[in-house]
Amino acid sequence: MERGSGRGEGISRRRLLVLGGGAAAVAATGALASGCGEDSEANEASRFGDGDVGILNYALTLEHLQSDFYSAAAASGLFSGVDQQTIREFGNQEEEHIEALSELVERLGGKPPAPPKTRFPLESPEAALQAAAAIEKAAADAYLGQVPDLEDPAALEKVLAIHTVEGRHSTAIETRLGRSITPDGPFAKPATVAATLKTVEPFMES
Amino acid sequence: MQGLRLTRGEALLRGALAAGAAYGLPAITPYVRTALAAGEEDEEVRALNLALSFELIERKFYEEAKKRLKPTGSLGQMIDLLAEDERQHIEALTAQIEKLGGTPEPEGEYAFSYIDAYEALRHLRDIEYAGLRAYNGAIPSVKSEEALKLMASIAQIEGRHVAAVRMERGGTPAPLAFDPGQSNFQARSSVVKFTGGWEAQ
Repeated sequence: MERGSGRGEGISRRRLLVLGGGAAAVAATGALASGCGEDSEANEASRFGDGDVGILNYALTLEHLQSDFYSAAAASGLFSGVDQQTIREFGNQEEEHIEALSELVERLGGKPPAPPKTRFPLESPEAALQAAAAIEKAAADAYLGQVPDLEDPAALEKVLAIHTVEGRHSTAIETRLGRSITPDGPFAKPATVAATLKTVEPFMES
Repeated sequence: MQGLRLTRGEALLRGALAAGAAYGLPAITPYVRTALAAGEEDEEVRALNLALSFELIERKFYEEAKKRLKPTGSLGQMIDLLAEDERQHIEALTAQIEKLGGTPEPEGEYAFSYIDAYEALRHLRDIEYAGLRAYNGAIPSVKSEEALKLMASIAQIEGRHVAAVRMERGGTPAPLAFDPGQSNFQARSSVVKFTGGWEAQ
């Protein structure tokens, strides 16, 4: 099977479009709210828009979530020193990802999604770090899950360049928590949209 | 540096063009088609072999580091973990190359010059980062689902390795927001001080 022929979550995007007549783009928060428990046969990134735009908007939604998290964590007063510096650095990088992905979406004729409303457990450093670990690993594996379905060369290059940075972020936080730098072993595991949305659901306002 | 070697596709194309000069265009059409198909196949194997070449360098580095540094504590644990990851990557990439009818790149002669763990970690950081960028540069040229999924999965792990090595050395895990891919030539050039050269695949 070749690229773009349905390696993501069962059937191909082309096939999905044939079956569905073209999935309509939906608002990001709505897509997230209704994301779990849906048909896992199709690439559910189509909830965020058609084709590559849908994948990029899905990624953008996750980037907004991460960016919000780091903003909240930085302002929480829970962290200082190297931790605070890392939080600010990662937050700035998520902002750069948002900018790059938004430009791609617009170049492809799409509209970037509105940032989702978020909430985070910031009652203690441990709780915040646990949330960060979940969010970063979800993002890295979400990117990995979408790589096979991207068709636009520039979009694929940019997503690959972000994917491994999310992996780095994840490892930094796992290390901070005293856990393995490779949570899934020698091979990272791609995550479906449904699985990702389930992971980040606790951090989304319904 | 060793000499350049023609790929199977390039050799077939060269032969077809020579035949075309002698017998005319219709005579060479099937051969050109074959040559182009072989070129695509070669590209796939070339991408996997680039990845394999970095895994082989990394494996050798870890093997030597264990003997020379006799690392303990967090450094020892990290080296053990990363070495095992690279071993499994080599196994998977080799199997994939053979499945596509290619020949896995053999281990070369490598030279790692360092006097302490800090310097070794600097080299390791550079090697792992060059490997990561090689993956990100090669993946877009991979067309088969299986090979692409494998390479992308390993790329994330290489990113994690880079972060771990940087932190072990006291640095920031991700100094930049993007890990841009680099070409086969750029990737191999960036580690030439450890490999001494390469045979173009």
